[in-house]
Amino acid sequence: MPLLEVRGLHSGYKDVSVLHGISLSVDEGEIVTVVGSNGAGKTTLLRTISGLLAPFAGEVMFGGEPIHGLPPHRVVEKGVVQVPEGRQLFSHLTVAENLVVGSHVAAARAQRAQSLTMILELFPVLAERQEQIASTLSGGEQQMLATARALMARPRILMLDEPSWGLAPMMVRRLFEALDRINRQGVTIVLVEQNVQQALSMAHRGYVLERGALVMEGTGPALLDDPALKTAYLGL
Amino acid sequence: MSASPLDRALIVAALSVFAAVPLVVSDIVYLHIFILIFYFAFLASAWSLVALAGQLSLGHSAFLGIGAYTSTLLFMELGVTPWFGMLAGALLATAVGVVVGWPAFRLRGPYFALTTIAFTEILRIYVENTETGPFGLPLRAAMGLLIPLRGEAPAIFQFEGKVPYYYVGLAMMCLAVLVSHSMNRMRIGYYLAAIRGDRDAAESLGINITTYNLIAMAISCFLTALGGTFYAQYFRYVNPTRLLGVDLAIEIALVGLIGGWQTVLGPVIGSILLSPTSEIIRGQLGGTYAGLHLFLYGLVMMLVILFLPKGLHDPLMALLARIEAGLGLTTRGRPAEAPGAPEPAPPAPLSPIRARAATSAPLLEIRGLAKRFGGLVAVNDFDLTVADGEILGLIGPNGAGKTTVFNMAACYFQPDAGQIAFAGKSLIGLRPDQACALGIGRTFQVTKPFPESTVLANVMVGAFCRVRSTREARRVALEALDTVEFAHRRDVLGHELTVAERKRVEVARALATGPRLLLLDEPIAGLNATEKAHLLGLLREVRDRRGLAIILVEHDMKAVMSLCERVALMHRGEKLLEGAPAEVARDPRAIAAYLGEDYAAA
Amino acid sequence: MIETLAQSLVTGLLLGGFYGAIAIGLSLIFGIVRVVNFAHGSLLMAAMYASYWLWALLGVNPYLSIPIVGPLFFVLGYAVQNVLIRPMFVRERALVIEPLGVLLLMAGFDLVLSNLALLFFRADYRGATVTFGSGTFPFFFMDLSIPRTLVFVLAFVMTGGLAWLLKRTELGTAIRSVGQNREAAALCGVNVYRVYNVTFGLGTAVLAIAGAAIVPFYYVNPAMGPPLAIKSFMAVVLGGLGSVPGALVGGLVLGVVESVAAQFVPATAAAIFSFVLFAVVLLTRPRGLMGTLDV
Repeated sequence: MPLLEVRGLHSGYKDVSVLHGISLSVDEGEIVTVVGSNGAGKTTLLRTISGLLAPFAGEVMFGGEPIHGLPPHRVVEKGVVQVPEGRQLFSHLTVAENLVVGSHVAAARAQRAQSLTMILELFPVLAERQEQIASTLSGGEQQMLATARALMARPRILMLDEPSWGLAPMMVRRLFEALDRINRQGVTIVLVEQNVQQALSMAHRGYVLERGALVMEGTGPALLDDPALKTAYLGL
Repeated sequence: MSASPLDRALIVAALSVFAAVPLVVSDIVYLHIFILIFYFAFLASAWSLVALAGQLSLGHSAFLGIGAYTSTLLFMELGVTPWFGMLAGALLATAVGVVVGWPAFRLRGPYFALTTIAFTEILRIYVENTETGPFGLPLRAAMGLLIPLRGEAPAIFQFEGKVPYYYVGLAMMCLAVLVSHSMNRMRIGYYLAAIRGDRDAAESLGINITTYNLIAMAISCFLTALGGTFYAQYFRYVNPTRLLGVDLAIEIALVGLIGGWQTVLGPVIGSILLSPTSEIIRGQLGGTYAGLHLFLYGLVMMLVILFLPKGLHDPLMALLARIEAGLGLTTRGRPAEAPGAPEPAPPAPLSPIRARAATSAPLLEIRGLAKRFGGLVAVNDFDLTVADGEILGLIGPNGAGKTTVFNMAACYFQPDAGQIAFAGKSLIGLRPDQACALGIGRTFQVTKPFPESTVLANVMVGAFCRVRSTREARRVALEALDTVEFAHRRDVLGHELTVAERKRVEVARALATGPRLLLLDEPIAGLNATEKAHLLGLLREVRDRRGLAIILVEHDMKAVMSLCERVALMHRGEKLLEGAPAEVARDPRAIAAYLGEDYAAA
Repeated sequence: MIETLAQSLVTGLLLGGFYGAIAIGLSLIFGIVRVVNFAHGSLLMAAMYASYWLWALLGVNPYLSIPIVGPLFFVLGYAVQNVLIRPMFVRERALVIEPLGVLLLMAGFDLVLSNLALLFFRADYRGATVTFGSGTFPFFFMDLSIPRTLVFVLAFVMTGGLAWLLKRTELGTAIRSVGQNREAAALCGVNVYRVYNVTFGLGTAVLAIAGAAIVPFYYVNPAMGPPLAIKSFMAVVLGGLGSVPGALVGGLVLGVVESVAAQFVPATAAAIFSFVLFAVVLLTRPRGLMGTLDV
């Protein structure tokens, strides 16, 4: 049974329909990448899974249980945690405080100390900056903090919305290396990206989302090799 | 707002009843209650004109007081009849209102309300504690002014019985309602509806928000001050504690809010419900149950906000409509726009809104444009030229800077460096409404219809950029709607439209302003394949028939390929490529921009 | 001359402490929940009545009523947010945005509360006379009122207490996170609506505690709400929207300005002056002295 399953999802804002019947699945331990150009609906997909949006129709199942319609904090309690687009850090809080909020849910709170150790090992640059105000960090450091914050919630599935946005290629590489390590430690990853090369090359499987519908599916490397990717991606 | 023949008959009937009441009723208690109904309906109507601009004033008692004190002092010191004094007071109140309103309107919601509270309280405290004011005016502090009794003296606005006051009050209420109704049917009404519907969209259609806010404020203050004189002459006692200050201001606002604060008849409905209630409670139970009427006001207010946030007007009108339908009095569909006016003639065959000589000079010239947001460079050294009648696509991945360039061309914010010239005129420092006046029309990525206005009214707001009369605006609007093949749905309300329909209406609305350049921000995002093809076809036709230029921000490459003659690709704030769509799409740099340099290299 | 000035400065500070004490709750609620609480004045009045009646009926010293009144009004504030205001947050997602809706709801609630008090308790001014904490004590060359000084101290204690709570506790950090980014907080597993409830409860509790502390020297009556509410708004705007210490600073500034101005101009003008200052700040720098929010 897949860990996360989306079935026939229709979602959007007020009466603007963005997703037109998406179905995808993520098995435990996988890295699944969803790529697509802007406006394809990637963020809407993640927001719906996280409970910030209620779907018009369709289901989101986690571990066999429905989670669509749950308020966001309950989705986090279940173990589905998102690193939102644009980081969305608590800019006036320190790095340490951001991490504290990240581990707000009871289960995470109990393991806060261990999580912190693990994270500082993963992102050593944060260790030196713990008392720094989040907004003073560089772009790359902010992305690391946002990812670390989500990890503090001890997710079973970590979803990231365009983590490479605005980052220099070097930082992107480092980030993806960290994601790889996280995955090896047992965290399932759903990665939503516009920048396809690194995202697809590290993915076990990938989906291409275009104008609210899934148009391609396959393993990461296979998609990269497929000439149809370009056409599908650009909507040609 | 429109009135069917049935509505008009009802209003005439109601007026006749009101007019006949004093002939039948002679109990002064009842007459007094009616007078209060008219008085508060008048005040709430005047107050709601500011609400029409989307602002909540909790300080309108200040203008009431200014009116009352001015006419009274003029009478008592200089013997000027209050009929003239009324006008003087109203003019003074208008001047004060505009002066105070001008900085205050920049504030939104609660902050504007707080400012109006501060204003009326300042006035109250001042008058309450000042025996003799400027120019030696005897303000008499908290004691107030007592108007000497002269018996039956119509020339100086004094009557012995209640009946003349009844008719004056009735006339004033009708005046306020009439003003409100007329404003709604004229350009200012459409503009105010646009301002409260969506400020950005309103500006893009050529509306100077400050100007129209102040006009609404001026009219509102003028009328309110007239009410002050009425109060003075009816009660013959003017004092600051009762007339000025936030308590009365809130009461006036409550009448308008409970009745329906952005409607014409709402204030009347509110007054009919609340004034008798408050008077009876105060009269009968005031001694033993002081505060009961305000308690009820507060309770009703809470219930209205929680369950009927727009007030009683709409549910009541809906109920009325059902009763009428049930009695078979009317086949009620949605009322057409002012059925009193004849159905407009079929639109004239399409001609370009502006006759233009063929010109080789570029229409839009952008040079060296740059913009930063904090530390982030959004646009850097960007050049672009657009010729008359050209369709150009602005493409690029997320964060490339397309929308920023777009917004600067539409004057939504100012560039940090560089130049933008439109038909030879610099756009630097201009406001969006000024850009519209020059001939730049735009649509929004996330559509901004005016939700409570009909489609036709939406487009008419655009039309008013070029024409003055409602009639002309209707004609231009229908023409624009025809262009996008949407005239048949003109009576649908903004918030009821689907996404595709909103996109079409926005295009029509921008077209109605008679632009030479149309800026379209992702016009087909969120549409299905059929809808997209349809809209793209319409856009091409529009360009062909009217000869305007179009700049399109789009992500859908297929659309761009089919519609655009030229394409500019942006990446990380700079222009990367320019040329025919097919070439640009094939260019490896474009692939690198969209899918990442690594992909292109691999 | 120096003596009078110094006296009015100190009096002003005490007055400012009073204003600050009743304003910090308002600032907390505004900063986190973003609600302009127009019922602030009548909630203060209700708390003072509660404290007064505990004294009048049960002989409880107003200062000792704090442990009762505080929690009681925490619950009341929690309920107000959860029952009255939350539906509006939920609804706003569906309908056209009505930012004034909550303001008007609270204004209606304010009328309801203050007139309920009028109906039940009449318009009489009521004062509690307390043996402990009344009277004056010498301070340099002045005699300061003990209860007013206690309120001044209380203002700082409460500000410090709130600052400690916000900075050093789990709950406080969660509250601050919600104030900064509601969605991000939700994505971290914070129950945002519950944080709103707790914050409103806290703000009301703080207000109630301040109310109990001023009963010894301020007469309770149903109409006392609005003038004090206006002072609170002034203090909050002056000191900075959304900043709790800012509200205290704003209150102090207000108190000193009023007190010192009263030495040079008639009292009326001094009262108007603070309103004018309020309006000017609103119009020119609505963020206030220490505010963190954008207006």
